[in-house]
Amino acid sequence: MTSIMSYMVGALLLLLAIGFLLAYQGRDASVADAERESGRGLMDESALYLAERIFSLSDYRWLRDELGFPHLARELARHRRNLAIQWLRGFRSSFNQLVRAAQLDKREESTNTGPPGWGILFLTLRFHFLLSYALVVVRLFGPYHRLVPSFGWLRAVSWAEYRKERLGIVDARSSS
Amino acid sequence: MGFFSFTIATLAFALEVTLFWRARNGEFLSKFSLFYSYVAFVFLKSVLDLVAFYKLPQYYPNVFWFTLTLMLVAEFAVLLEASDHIFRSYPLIRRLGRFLTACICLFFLVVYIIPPFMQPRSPRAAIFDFVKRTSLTKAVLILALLAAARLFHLALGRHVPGILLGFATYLSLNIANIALAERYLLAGYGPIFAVVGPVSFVLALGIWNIALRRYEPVSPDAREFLGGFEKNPEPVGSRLGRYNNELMRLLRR
Repeated sequence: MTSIMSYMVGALLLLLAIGFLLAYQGRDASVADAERESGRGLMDESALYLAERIFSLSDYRWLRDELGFPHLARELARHRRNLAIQWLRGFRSSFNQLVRAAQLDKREESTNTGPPGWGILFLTLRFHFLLSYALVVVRLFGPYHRLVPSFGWLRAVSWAEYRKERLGIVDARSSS
Repeated sequence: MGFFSFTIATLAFALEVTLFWRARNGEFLSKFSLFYSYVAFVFLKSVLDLVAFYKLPQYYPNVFWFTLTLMLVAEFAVLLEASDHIFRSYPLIRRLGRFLTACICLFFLVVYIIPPFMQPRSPRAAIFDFVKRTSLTKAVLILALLAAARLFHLALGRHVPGILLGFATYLSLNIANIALAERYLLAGYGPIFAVVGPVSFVLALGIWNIALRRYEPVSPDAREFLGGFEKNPEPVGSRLGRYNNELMRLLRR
């Protein structure tokens, strides 16, 4: 009986979710317009420099260590985190705008000399995955947290490294 | 076959013919070739079922279940065509529909559809289970395709959402109907089961008739064409590479 109910409720929920997604399509034009505005010019040199400043730890350290205002440094970090989230969202909007760039005709497709279709899809999905990951890290730990985790500990548990250490084999690259 | 079933079958025939007639008049049969092939197959299946029911009743169950199984497989092909229609105008995600279809079908096949076949059961229970599980897989696939389109705010137009909504209605009713039949078929659910299935397909045909009334090609936003209105000299592949490089530079700092 429970499985029947779960199937019936599941079917109803699926239908509702599909209906909701289809009903939402009408609003997508306005969302796309908003994305176009928020993502404008984000790949320019000045905008990229600004992004570097947002994610740079130097201002925070300068306030905390050199000027001796730790509370102001914390406030700066909080503001920078909001800015970083906004910037990452804008970056995604700008990228979505590129994704939505449609192709007019087949001739253009045949003359396109970029990576093949599956490669392009992989890069697109990878970009979205990494950006979502960066957003989660910034939201949880702030803009100054290391975004790529260190995998140094893997060396310690690696079997090859263990054997090398145990047998006293010295890496030629490290010794030279 | 009672009067109600006969009426439903006639209505389904009429809707199928109307669907074809409109597509032929509007000259867009070839735009959705797999979808219209599927509708033609369903039409032929109904004719075969009727002939077997009245002329060769001893073969009717075999003919019915065999054609139904073929129909279930053909529905995957239609969904693949719909997924192509959603993403094909966008070079960066042109293969996304096929990728999602392949991943979801493979995952559900291995984890959800095949395992029950390993257990000994009656043929009827096995077929019911197969129909139910493939229907659920298709419903999840539709949901995933629409969610992906929503993620990128793609323009879907009128036809593909209509095809998908029709399928979703038909599949959802089928899932619920079969789940009930598995349990209560011998307790008097048989006549209701025989009606709900065809009614769900008639509902889908009605939705398809409305959505495919006339051909309206999807028109992406004119400001977002590659080449043409706002010709960008940089190829889309290198623009994608620049985005990835900038993001990686940020992540590796």
